[in-house]
Amino acid sequence: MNSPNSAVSERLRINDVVTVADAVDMIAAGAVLSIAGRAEALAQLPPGTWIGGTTPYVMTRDGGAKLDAAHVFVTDLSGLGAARVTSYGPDELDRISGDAPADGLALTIIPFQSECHERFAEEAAEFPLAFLRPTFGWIAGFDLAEEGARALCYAGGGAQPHTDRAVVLHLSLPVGKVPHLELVNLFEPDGLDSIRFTATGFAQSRAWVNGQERDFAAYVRERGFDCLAVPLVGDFAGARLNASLQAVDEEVVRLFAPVFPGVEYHFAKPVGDYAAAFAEKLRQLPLGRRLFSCNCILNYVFGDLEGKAIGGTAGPVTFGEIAYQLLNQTLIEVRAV
Amino acid sequence: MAVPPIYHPCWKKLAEGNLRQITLQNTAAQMLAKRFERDGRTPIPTKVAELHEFFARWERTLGHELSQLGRV
Repeated sequence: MNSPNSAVSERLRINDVVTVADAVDMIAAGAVLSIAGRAEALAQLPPGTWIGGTTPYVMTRDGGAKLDAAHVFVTDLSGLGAARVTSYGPDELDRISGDAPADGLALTIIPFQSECHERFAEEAAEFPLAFLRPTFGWIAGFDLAEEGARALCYAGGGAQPHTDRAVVLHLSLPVGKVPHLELVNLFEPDGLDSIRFTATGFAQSRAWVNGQERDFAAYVRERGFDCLAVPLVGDFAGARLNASLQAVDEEVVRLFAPVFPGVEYHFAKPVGDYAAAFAEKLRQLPLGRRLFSCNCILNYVFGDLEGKAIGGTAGPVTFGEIAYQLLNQTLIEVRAV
Repeated sequence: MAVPPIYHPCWKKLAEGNLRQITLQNTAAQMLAKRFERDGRTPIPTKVAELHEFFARWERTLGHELSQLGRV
């Protein structure tokens, strides 16, 4: 096992699948970790400076993989700066960035379909320090094959997992370094219908399509997007941020992220070979010191990424990505620059 | 280009809705610009202070944006 010592070089810093036994050793040695895995595995971890969330899906250098209960995915963040583990309930989510160190970031995991998930998604961009003390991270999920499974989060172990708290690692960076986001979105707007909404929310029954009010569920069916593979792409002053479709019911469209008034959306152009597209996008990124990365479960599923490498980036596969606010169908890389 | 002092008129112009006049490449800057655009309640001086602090904090990663402030 590589050393979890705080003096560990970046080359030796683990960002990979390890056995639960190795993760236990790393925590006991004082490593600062972000951990993803099944609930049975995370429940075995001792108290320490770590946060965790449930998902059995991960990307490794060799491709997408599904964890068993004897393994977890660890991202070692030791040796960077002061680290503090905490958690926040639905009414105190502004403290994720509010309590973050001025010289670092807030690495955050939130359970899928919790009140924290909904509130963070709708409010995060409005938090007073959202863009000064950045929040990165992911939404915890579960095995899609397990009926009734639910997402859990862990703040340093030793206690019951959280079903509705945001677990946070407040992390300082070395002097002279700042966190920097690389956002990899394979989806581009199709350039056809312009879609706007009048209310913020995960569920929408009406939309303004090219200036005309429409039954949104009927419109989605008419366009053939009820297959759910193609997200809405919002234009946030040039940033392309997705809101993915969860279900198209008779009268309402349910989304994995809220849409917002004042933002123009288009459906995305379909993507063919996800693995090749990711590899090409990642090849174009400048080199940098990677701290953390995650990719969306929808890319994993619709891109059939199990067993397919995408260019060396490794991390949990998630039910939503966090970079200042909630994102969908996106790969994020957080770097120290 | 260094970050102009907070009393420089460019900040007020940007906070009043002219962030779109410069080409934003930084994702956080783009998200912040959209927040400002959607937010009609926050007073301009508060936006000015946040914008200045944002550019000062992230100066190293905002070279493209900073290089355009002279023409705002």
